[in-house]
Amino acid sequence: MKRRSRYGIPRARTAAWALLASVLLALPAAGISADLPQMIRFSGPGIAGSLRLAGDMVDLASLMEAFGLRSSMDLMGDRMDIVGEGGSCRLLMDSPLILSRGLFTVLSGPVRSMGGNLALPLDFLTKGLPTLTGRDARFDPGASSLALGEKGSASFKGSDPDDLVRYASFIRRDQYVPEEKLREEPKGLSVVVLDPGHGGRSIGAQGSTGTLEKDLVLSVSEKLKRELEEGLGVKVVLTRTADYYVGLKERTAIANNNRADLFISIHANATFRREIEGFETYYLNFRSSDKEAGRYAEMENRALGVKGGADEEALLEAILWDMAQTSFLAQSSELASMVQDRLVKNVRGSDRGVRQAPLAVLMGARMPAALVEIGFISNPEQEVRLNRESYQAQIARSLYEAIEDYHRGLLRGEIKRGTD
Amino acid sequence: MRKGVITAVILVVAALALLALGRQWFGGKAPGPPSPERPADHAAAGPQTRQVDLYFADVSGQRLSLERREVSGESREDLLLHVVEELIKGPLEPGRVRTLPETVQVRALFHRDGTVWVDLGSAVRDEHPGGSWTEVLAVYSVVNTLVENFGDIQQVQILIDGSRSETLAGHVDISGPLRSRIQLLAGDWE
Repeated sequence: MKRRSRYGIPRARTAAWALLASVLLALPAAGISADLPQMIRFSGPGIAGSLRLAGDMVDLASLMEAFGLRSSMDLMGDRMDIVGEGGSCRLLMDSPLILSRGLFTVLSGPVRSMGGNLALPLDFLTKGLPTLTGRDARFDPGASSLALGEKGSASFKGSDPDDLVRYASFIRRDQYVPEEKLREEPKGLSVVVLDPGHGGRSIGAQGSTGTLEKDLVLSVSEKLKRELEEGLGVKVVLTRTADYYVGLKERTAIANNNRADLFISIHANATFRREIEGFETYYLNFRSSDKEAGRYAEMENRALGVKGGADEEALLEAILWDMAQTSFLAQSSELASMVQDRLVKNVRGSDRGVRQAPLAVLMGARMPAALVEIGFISNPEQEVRLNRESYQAQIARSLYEAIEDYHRGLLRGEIKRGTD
Repeated sequence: MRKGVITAVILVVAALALLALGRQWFGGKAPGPPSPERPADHAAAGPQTRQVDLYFADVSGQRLSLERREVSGESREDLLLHVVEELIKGPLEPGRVRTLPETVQVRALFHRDGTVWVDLGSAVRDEHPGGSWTEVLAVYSVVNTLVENFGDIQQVQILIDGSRSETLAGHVDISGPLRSRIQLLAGDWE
């Protein structure tokens, strides 16, 4: 079981912070100016101008204007094709991957939406721009200048690509505040999607006296919906409102289409031993055994057999699906801890902890998401309690308080909204 | 009359062939002490016996827990299939709890290039008690047991009734091949 700090930050993140700290310490030695440039000058044969920076990233709009690029976004808003004189490339939202000529290239960070505009990591200037413009590009971070040459002259010569990656990833990210955010008050929750597990032919777990998980979780979800609407004044959407079957991907899609700020899947627990009772809360792990970084490394420069074909599309789908929840893991971990804390504090039952697990219903959710197991109906005592109105009300109240905790955390700025 | 003679001849030949095979399999060599996996074992046909660590649940239902058992098979894949069947039989020693319903059938098992496909009967879905972590332990009792005991297996794809399935019983993603999660012995995902 993962030992939880206040908000259950996973151990791996401690290591990431240590790495970040060491890189930051090394920066002055690397001669990178502490003053954040606002512009990057570019020049080359027959061309000159400047690009706007969005914090430590380059603003896509200025890039398109400067080089006469055209773009099209797909309907779902999660990928964008950019076309220039030299060629085209595809960007994936919230992903560090760019795809051009059937090859994946990994940027130093994800493509992000900042204050309504898209921003790209600086290494896009040398990794993506040459394909679009048909010109090679050499970036000098110290002088904030981009030298463009004829195709064929070597990019990166005289400039260590690792420096560029470090520059793009780490300079003063913490000091960057998008203009809009300076004016804007922190926002709390406005839409919450609750997902009563199972339904219809999927009955879920079954108690020894006949309690069905699908009925129980719907009842608790309805109670929680009322509490949230009355107490927090948020819009609440249930993924099912009666006893019918809803697919797992459909549940996530309901949350995505409603632009939910939170997604909470509510389940009742069961196991082979009747003695086991208590509460458990889950959030998603990284897919499979592979760390995201490892997967990108594998994909980098991997030639795809059929350019633009079905294989490529399928791979893109898989990547987008993976990326969705991965961007919100820190928030999801906080949410899961808040839910578990409130349950074990308010309701009779053991604390079986917060864990990461490869749960299909959480994959693809583009918002912080958790799955709570509100008690074991395979335990005869807890089954009896779960059938009582008062016990269900206590559980709904605890989940309400956890969501309120999260809401307050957002308002106080203690919880970041994630990459959206 | 003539048909009868032909049938009799076929039966005798078949019986002789079976006897010969049986002698080769069971009389040929005594099973030696369990030895570490060699690459050559993969290709080896014929009977095999191995000591394997089976991954069951512990009494808390939070962790996987090992039980050592000797398993035999008439071929490599047969051995692997029997290993999964031993998991379904459940633990023999106290302190461990089954991870799969006892009514589950192993319909088929294939091993190609480091990946094992295990095709389980629908009881694995229909008779599973439910619960997210109970399902995690069910899936990874199979995956860990195969990957951790056999050096040439890297990943396991679970099929239900011959098809890929989104989950085992509604929670855990089994849509692709899975690698072992050894930290489940400590109750952690990683």
